[in-house]
Amino acid sequence: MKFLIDSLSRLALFISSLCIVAMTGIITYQVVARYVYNASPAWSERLSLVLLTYLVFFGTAVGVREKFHIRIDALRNAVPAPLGKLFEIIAHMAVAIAGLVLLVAGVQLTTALWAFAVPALGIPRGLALLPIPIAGAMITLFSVAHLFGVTDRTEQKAG
Amino acid sequence: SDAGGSSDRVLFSADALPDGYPTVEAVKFMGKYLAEKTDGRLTVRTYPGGQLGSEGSTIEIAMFGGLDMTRTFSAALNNIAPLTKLFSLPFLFRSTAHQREVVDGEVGEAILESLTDYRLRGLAIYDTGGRGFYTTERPIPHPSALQGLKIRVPNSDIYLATIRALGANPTPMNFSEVYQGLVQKVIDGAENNWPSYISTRHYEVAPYFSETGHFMTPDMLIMSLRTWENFSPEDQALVKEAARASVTVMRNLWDQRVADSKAALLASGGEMLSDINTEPFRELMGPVYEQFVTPELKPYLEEIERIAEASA
Amino acid sequence: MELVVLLLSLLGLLAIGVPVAFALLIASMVVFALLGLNPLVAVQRLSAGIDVFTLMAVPFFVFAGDLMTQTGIATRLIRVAEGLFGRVRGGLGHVNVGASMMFGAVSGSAIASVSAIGSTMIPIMEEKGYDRSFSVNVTSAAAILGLIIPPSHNMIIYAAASGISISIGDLFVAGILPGLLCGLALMITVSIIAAKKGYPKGVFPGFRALLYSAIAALPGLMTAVIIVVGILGGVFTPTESSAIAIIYTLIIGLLVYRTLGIRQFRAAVVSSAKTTSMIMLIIGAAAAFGWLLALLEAPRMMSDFILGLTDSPFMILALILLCLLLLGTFMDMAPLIIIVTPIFLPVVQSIGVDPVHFGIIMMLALGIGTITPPVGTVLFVASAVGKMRVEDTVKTMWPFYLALLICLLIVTYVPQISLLLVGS
Ligand code: NA
Ligand code: NA
Repeated sequence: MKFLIDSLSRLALFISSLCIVAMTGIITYQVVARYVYNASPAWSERLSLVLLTYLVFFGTAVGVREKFHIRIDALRNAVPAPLGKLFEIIAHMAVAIAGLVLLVAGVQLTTALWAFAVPALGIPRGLALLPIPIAGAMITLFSVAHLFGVTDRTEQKAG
Repeated sequence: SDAGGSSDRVLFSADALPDGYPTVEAVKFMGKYLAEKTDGRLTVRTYPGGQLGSEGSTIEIAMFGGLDMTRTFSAALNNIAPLTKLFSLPFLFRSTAHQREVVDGEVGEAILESLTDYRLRGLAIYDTGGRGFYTTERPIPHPSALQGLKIRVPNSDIYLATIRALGANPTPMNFSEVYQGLVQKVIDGAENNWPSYISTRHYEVAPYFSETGHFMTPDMLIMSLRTWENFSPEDQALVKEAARASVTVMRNLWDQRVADSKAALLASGGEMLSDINTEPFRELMGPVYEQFVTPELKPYLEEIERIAEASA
Repeated sequence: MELVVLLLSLLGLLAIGVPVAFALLIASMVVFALLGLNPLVAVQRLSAGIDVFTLMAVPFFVFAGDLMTQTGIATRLIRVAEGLFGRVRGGLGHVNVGASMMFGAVSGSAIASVSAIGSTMIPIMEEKGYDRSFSVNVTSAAAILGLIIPPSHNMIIYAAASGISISIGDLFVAGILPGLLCGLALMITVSIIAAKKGYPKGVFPGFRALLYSAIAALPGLMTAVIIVVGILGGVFTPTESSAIAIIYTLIIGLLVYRTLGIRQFRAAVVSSAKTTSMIMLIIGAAAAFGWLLALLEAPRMMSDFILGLTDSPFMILALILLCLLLLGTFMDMAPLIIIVTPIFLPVVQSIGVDPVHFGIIMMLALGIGTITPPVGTVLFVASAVGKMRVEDTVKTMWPFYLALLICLLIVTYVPQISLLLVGS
C-alpha cells in the first residue's frame, strides 16, 4: 500500500515537473516565433495555461502527501498533545473531504464542459479540467493514508 | 411571500465591465422594470467590474446555476454555442441600422434560442457598434497600411484569421497587457470599439483610430436555464419583455458614450479616420468566410444579406 | 449570516491547522452549500483563479530563481553585493530593499518580485548569518514597493474599475515619490534591526577583488538586464521575460559557469513545481473565497457602516484605511480593487480627495494586506520561498508593518507626496 501511494505521489510530481519545463519551452517558442517567423502562435498562451492547471493540481496532491502546504500550526503546538493530535486528525479529515468534493465536482465539471473546445487549441475544455478530479482522488487517498499512519518517505527519514 | 406562494426573488447578474457602463446600466434598468411590474417580487442585483469573474467563467457559472444572469461579449460564447459564431464574422453588417434590424429580428432570436442546448437562456442582444483599428504610428485608410503590423486581437479563431487575411500579423495578447504592449512596441496596434478604446486609455499610446467597422460583434445578456425554468410562463414573458426594454436604454447610452469617446480622443490630440472605403477590406474576406461559414450558418447569412438588400 | 459562517469556518479551520488553501476552499464550499449553490461553482472558481495569463510569471520566476541557486549565480552575485555594501551594517538587507525597488520598477507584480528576489536573496542572507525570519520579512515588505513604483498592473485595474477618467500616466507618476518614501522607511528599519542584532558588516575586499567578483557575476547580472531591457525595449511582455530568464540562466549554467548538470536541473525543476503548486493553489482558493465575499456584498456593508459613523473627512479617511487594511487581511488585491473602488471612490471624492491620490492610498493599503495573515499572498510566497512557517515569519514582522503603516499615514494625509510630480 505504502509503495503504491509513494509511486502515485512520485508520478504526480513527475507530471507537475514536466509541465513547468514544457511551459517554459512553449513561451520561449512564442517569443522566438514572433521574431523569427514574424508570427505569434495563437495556441501557445492557452496551452501554457492548460499546463499550469496540470502543474498546480498534481503538485497539490504531492503537497498533501509530503505535507508541504502552508498551514498555521501555532494553536496546535500550544495546546496539550492529545488535543493537538485530535486537531491533526480533524485537519486530515477536512482535507480528505475537500479532496472528495474536488473529485465529485471535478468529474461533473469535466464532463459538463467536455464538449466545448478550448479557444485556439481545439482540445476539449474538459481535458483542461481533468487534473482536478484526479488530484481530488489522490488528495483523499493521501489524507486517509496519513490518518492510518502510512507515512511519507521524508517523514521516515526524520523519524 | 404573497398569496400565490411565489416569494421575493433577487436575480444576481454579473458584468465584466465597470459600473456605469451602458450594459451595466441597461441591466439595472431591467431590474427596476421588473421590480415595478411585480411590486418588488422580482429584482436584479448587478455585480459589475468583473467582481464575479471573467466573461468566460461567468458563462460557465451561469450554466451550472451558480449565477442568474451575465452580460458577455458574444464571441466568448463561440466555443460553446456554434451559432453565435455568425456574429463574429467580419464585415457581416452594412451599417448599424442593418445590424439592429438583424439582431432585433428572427435571426437574433434564433441565436438567443440556440443557447438553450447549453443550459443558458439568451435574453437580449446589446449591439456595440463597429470595431476599429487603433495604431501607434499612422491611421489605416486601406488594408495596405496594415501590412506586417503586429495587431493585438482577442484569442478567437475567426478574429485571428480575419486580421491575417487583411495582411497584418495577428498577435493574441492578454487584454491587461495591451497598454504596456503598445508603449513598449511589442505590438503596433489593436482593435476594439470606441468606448473600450477610450476607457482603457489605450488612446494615450495609440492615438490613431480608424473606423473600419471590420467586426460588429455584439454583447449578449444571458440567463442560467436553471433560473429560467423556475419561472412561471408569465414571469418568463415578463423577463423577456424587460430585457427587450433594456436594449433601447443600452443603445441610447451607447450612442452617447461613442460620441463622448470621439470627443475625448480629439481633445487629447488624437486622430480619427472616418468614412473609410471598406470595399478593399471586404474583398480580402473570401478565405475567412470559406473557413468559418458552416452549413448551419448559411441560411442565417442569406437572411442577413436579404435584409440588407431589402432596405437598400 | 452566510458571511459569519464563511469567516468563522475559515478561522476555525486555520486554527486547527488545516492548510490555508484547503481552509479557504472548505469554508467556501460550506457557504456554497448554505446558499443552495452546487459546490461545483467553488471548484470552477478555484480553477478559474489559477487560469490567469499574468499569473504564469509566478512559476517562471520561481523556476528561474531555483535554477540560479543551482548554478551558483546567486553566490557570485553576493560577492559583488558584499563588496558594494561592505561597510554598511545589515548590508544585505539594504541590497534586498534596493533590488526589490529596481525589480519593482520593471514589474507590476509583488508575487513575481518575491519569487525573483526572495529565491535568490534569502539563501544568501541566511548563509551570511542573517536570521531567516528577518530575510523573509525584508523580502516581503520590500516586494510590495513594486505595487507602488511604476509600472503597476494594479493601477491599471484601479483606473478601469473607477468608472471615471483617471490617467494611468498620472497614476504611474504619482507612485514614484511614495515608492521612494517607503523604500527609505524600510532601509531605516533594516538599519535599526541590523544594529540591534549585530548583523554582519563584512569586510571591504578591495577594488581589485570587487572588480573580479563583478566580472564573475556579470553573466548572472545580465539576467536582470535582459529582463529590464527586454521589457522596456518591447522585445517581450513581462510574462515572456520570465520564461526567457529561465532559458538564459540555463545557457549560463550549462555553457559559461558549467555548474549545471542533470542533477541540479532536476532539483530546480522539482522544487519549483512544488513551490508553484503551493502558491497557486492558495491564489485559486482565495479566488473562490473572494467570489463569495463579493456575492454576499461584504465590502458594501462595510462602507455603509463607515458613513453611518462619521462625517469628518479626517475620520472617514481613517476608517477607509482601516477597512482597506481589514479587507486586505482576508482578500486578494486585484479582486479587492475591483470591488471596493466603485464603493469608496465616490465617498472620498465627496470629501475632496483626488482620485489619483486615492489610487496610491489603495495600492499601499491593499499592498500591506498582501503581507498580512490569514490571506497574504506575498507573505505566503515569501515564507514558502524562505521555507518558513507563516506564523514564524509574522512574529518578527512588526517593525516592517510599523514602518509601512507610518508611510501609509503620511501618504494618506499629505497628498502632495503623491500629486507633486503629477500634471506639471
Ligand atoms: Na512596479
Ligand atoms: Na492579508
